[in-house]
This record gives sequence, structure tokens and C-alpha cells, in this order.
Amino acid sequence: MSVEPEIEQELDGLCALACLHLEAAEKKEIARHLNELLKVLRRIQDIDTTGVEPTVHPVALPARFREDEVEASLSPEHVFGNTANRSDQYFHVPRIAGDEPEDV
Amino acid sequence: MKLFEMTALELSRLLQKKEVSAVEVTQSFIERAGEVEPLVQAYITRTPETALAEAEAVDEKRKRGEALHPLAGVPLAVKDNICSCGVRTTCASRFLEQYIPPEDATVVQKARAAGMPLLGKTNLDEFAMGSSTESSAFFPTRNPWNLSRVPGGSSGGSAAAVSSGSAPLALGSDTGGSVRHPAAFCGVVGLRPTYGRVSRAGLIALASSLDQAGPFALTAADAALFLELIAGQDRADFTTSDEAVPSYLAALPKGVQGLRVGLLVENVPDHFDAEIITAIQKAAKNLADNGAVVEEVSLPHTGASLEAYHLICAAEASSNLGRFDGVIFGRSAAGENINEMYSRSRGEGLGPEVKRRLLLGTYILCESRYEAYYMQAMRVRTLIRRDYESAFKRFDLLLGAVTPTTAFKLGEKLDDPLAMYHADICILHGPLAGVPAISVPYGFDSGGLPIGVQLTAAPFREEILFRAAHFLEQSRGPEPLRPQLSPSGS
Repeated sequence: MSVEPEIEQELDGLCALACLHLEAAEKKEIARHLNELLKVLRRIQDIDTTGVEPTVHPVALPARFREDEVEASLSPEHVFGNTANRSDQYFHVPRIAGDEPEDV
Repeated sequence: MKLFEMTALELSRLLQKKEVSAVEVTQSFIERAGEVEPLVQAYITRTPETALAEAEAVDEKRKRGEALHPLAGVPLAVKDNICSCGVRTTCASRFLEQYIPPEDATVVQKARAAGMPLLGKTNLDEFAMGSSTESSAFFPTRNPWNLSRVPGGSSGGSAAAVSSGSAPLALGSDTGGSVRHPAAFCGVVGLRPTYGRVSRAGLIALASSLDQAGPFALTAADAALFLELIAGQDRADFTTSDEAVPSYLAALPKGVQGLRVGLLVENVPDHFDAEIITAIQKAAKNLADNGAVVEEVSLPHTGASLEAYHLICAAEASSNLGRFDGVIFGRSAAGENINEMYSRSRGEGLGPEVKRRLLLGTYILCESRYEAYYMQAMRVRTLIRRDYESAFKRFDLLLGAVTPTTAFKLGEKLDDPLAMYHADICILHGPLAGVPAISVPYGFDSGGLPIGVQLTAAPFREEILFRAAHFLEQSRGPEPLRPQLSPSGS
């Protein structure tokens, strides 16, 4: 089993990857719990799985496809019915691109 | 006997003979909910007006002589992570507190098409992550057998609703035991169908390779009838099987003569509650005395199921819950840029257990750890699946515990996630293998709390589960278990 550093050292990086803001008070508690969990979960590395294929899906089912035909979809009223971010027929979000002016 | 005390089959017979109306039946459950809900809190949202309107429509159709499903007029409660068109579906999360789905989940659509009035949406652990229904962002549900105890989880609201008589049938979801666990704690029948037996379309995903919707009922017969309705292939879920749906109800009288039953040694270890072990041994003896052949069987790799399950579940959840970003639906926080908006929306809207699992999933899916954790967990999943395949060459059924203990106290494990995870230790490996399993009430401990026993079958052999569960009910005493719940508490 590999020895890995405690999770505190990379918690901010994980939060960035998970798009998850944590308050300072939450971080300590979550890090403590994750460290405890990982101590147990790392035991899985002790099991010999040499030559064993992974199981992604529990029951073998053939891949099925439907005809590539246009079907009815949700109306705009339904699509925008659960958002506060509607702007006409669009979702309005904060700036996505960086700070550069558009003409650069 | 009052209507709310009857099984779904008893109600169905009365309705079909026109001795009661769907409105009368539905009204009885609504009134019962009015009495017990202040104590139990099984529901997040109750929909009495909708239910009565749906019941009225059933009565009209019956008056006109239209052909109706046997469950027409039998009302239903639905776990609040299963979408219901026009009725808010929260996943017990602040993030989705105001979310109103534009479509029904396939299972809800089937129930509504059959004429089952929707009584409301039941409480759960937030996003179905938990074993006690305490991680609901709104309130904990209480166990109808003892209000200081948890109902189990994550589908604790659905189990408590059926147990307390505020619904005759309920839908739950089982990713790592979330139907069977609360069924055992609340003294009702709970079935996890084979993966692919029931559509997941509209069931808000926790872990897509593990999630299955399943029924709660007072009896195996009720659950059998309900599964017949909700099972089957669905073009909205391409992981559903085209395997024919048999009449599960018709299989019940076949009994257990000749069934080969494996007593699962890993699910009855010495450190479990002695009264649970005794109940399983009694069930084994009853099966053997009535023509089943009972022998011990081992699934050696299930000892690693806690690790494999939580790694796979966290990995899949961290991906699935990426959709909750505050843009299209759900809680939306302000941000200077879009990443800040995502992060703050999720930070404000999600609870601690959800955050833990999202971060755990993110941690193990990092490039440097993917092989050692996620791929390794999927290889162990193969070993567990092979254990089951090997066992089902010798046995028709496996018998074991559902839970190591009976219902624990509210708050007892809330600050110890690992202890909470261990509460599911008997029910995590079945989902990893995709097999169906049922929890059947089988007696009580000395504190008066229900004990459940678990039966597991090979994929798509639910009818064997129902046969054996029905037999165990008869040997226990066929009357459903009912808590002595009263407004003064129990």
C-alpha cells in the first residue's frame, strides 16, 4: 500500500477541481473525515487483482441505439422553468473568458 | 380494519369489487398522514389535492366500465429523488429545494398511468448518500417503531411512510442498500431489483452503474404486484433489459420445496447483534423444514465490498453531480466569474456528506490515483461478481442479514461517517454484482425493533425472491407488522 500525504495539503486543489467552495470551518472537518475514510479505503490496494478485468457495468447488456430521428423536446417554458438565470432565450452566466479585452 | 391498515392487494380487491372508491382509499391515507406525520416526518412534500383528483379520475373510469390496472386507486408515496412532473423533487437538498421537474420519471409515469394517486414525496439522505435519513437538509425522519431511532436510509421516508400507514406502497432507490436497509429498520418489505430490471430514467443519479428503483410494501405479494407494474424495458433508459417481466404474484404459491438456499457466512458474523443472527438461523431452519436445501456458502471477496463500493460510488457521484452547477436549475449563487458561481452555488447548496463524497471521488479520479483506486475497485468488483456467479451455480437463493444491528438512535452515527458506512456492510456487495435482493421483516429484537432478513437471487430471478419472502412471511405469521404509533408517541 502506498503512503500518501494527508489530504489537507491538497484540499484547495481538490475543491477547485470539484468546483466546490468550502468555508474555512468546513475544511478542517472534511479533511479529518476524508483522512479517516482513505485509511480504510486504501486497503483495497492490498488485494491481488493480477490479470483481473475491471467490471464497469454489473449486468452484460448489449448496446442499443434508436433511430436518429428528431423527437419532441422540452418547451422553452419547461427548460427555463427552474432557473433564475434566464435572459430571453438564453441562460445568463457570469463572464466565462479571462480578463483580456475582446479585441486582443 | 381501517383502509390505511390494509395491504395494497386487499385494497385492490375492495376497489375492483367497488366496495370502496379510490377517493375513500386515498382520503384514508391522507388522514392517517395528518395524524402521524407530525411524529414521523416521512414526507418532504405531501400532495393531497393532486392525489384526490387522481383518485377521482380513477373512480370515474371505473364507473364508465373502463379496464383498469389492479393497482388503480391504490395510492403511492415516492422518494424525493425520483422526478414527478409538476411536484417539486428536492433530493432532500437545499440545492434542489425549489426544483420542479418538467417530466415524470418512467416509474412515476407508469404508476400514474395505472391510476395510482401520488400522495407525496418522501424524505431521504441528501442525494441518497447515507443510511439514516439524517443527512436530509430539511429534517430527519423518525422510525415509527421507536421515535428516538432512525428509519434507516437512504430511502427512510418511503419505508417509514409504509410502516406508519401513511402510504400502502412506496418507491425508493437502492444504490448500496438504500431500499433494503430502511425496510429492515422499519419492518416492511423492500426490494432491490436486478440492475436493468426497472428504468432509471428520471431517478436523479447517484452512481449510474449501481442505482436501481425498487418498491416498499407491507407484504411480498404487494411488492410483487408493484414490481410487475414498474419493471420492463424503457427506451428512455438504454440499460434496461428486454428480459420478459413474468407474473411475480403468480409465483408466490409455489413455496420453497426444492429450493437450494445458501446461508451466507459473511453476512452472519459473530460481531453482529445476536438476535439478528438468531432470526436468520430461524429463517434457515424454517426453509429447511419445508423442503428447501440449506447449506453454508462463502463469498470470499465481499469482505472488500465497503472499499470497492465507496470508491466506485464516489467516483460516479463526483461525475454525476457535476450537473448541479447553479445555471440551468437549482440553487444559484452570485460570482465574479463562472467558476466562482459554480463553486459558490455548490458550496451553499450541498451538505457535508455530499461534499465529502464529491471530494473523495475527485481525489481518486486524479490521474495519479485513478489506477490504484478506481480501476482497482472495479477489478475487485469483478471478483465479487464472480463470487456471486459461482454461488448461483450451486444455489437458487442466498440468505443473510440486512444490517448488523437493528435501528440505531438518532444522532448516534452522524459525526462518524465510517461507522455509518459500516451500517451497510451486508448490502453493498449485491449492487456491485447487479443481483436482486429483498429485505423481509422477520421478528423483533428484545427492544421491540424489527429485524429484517435478506434474500438474494441471480439476476432477473426476482420471482424466487418473492416465493421465499412470501413463505417467510407465512412462517412468521402472515399479518403485516404494524407499529403501535399514536399521536402520543411510542
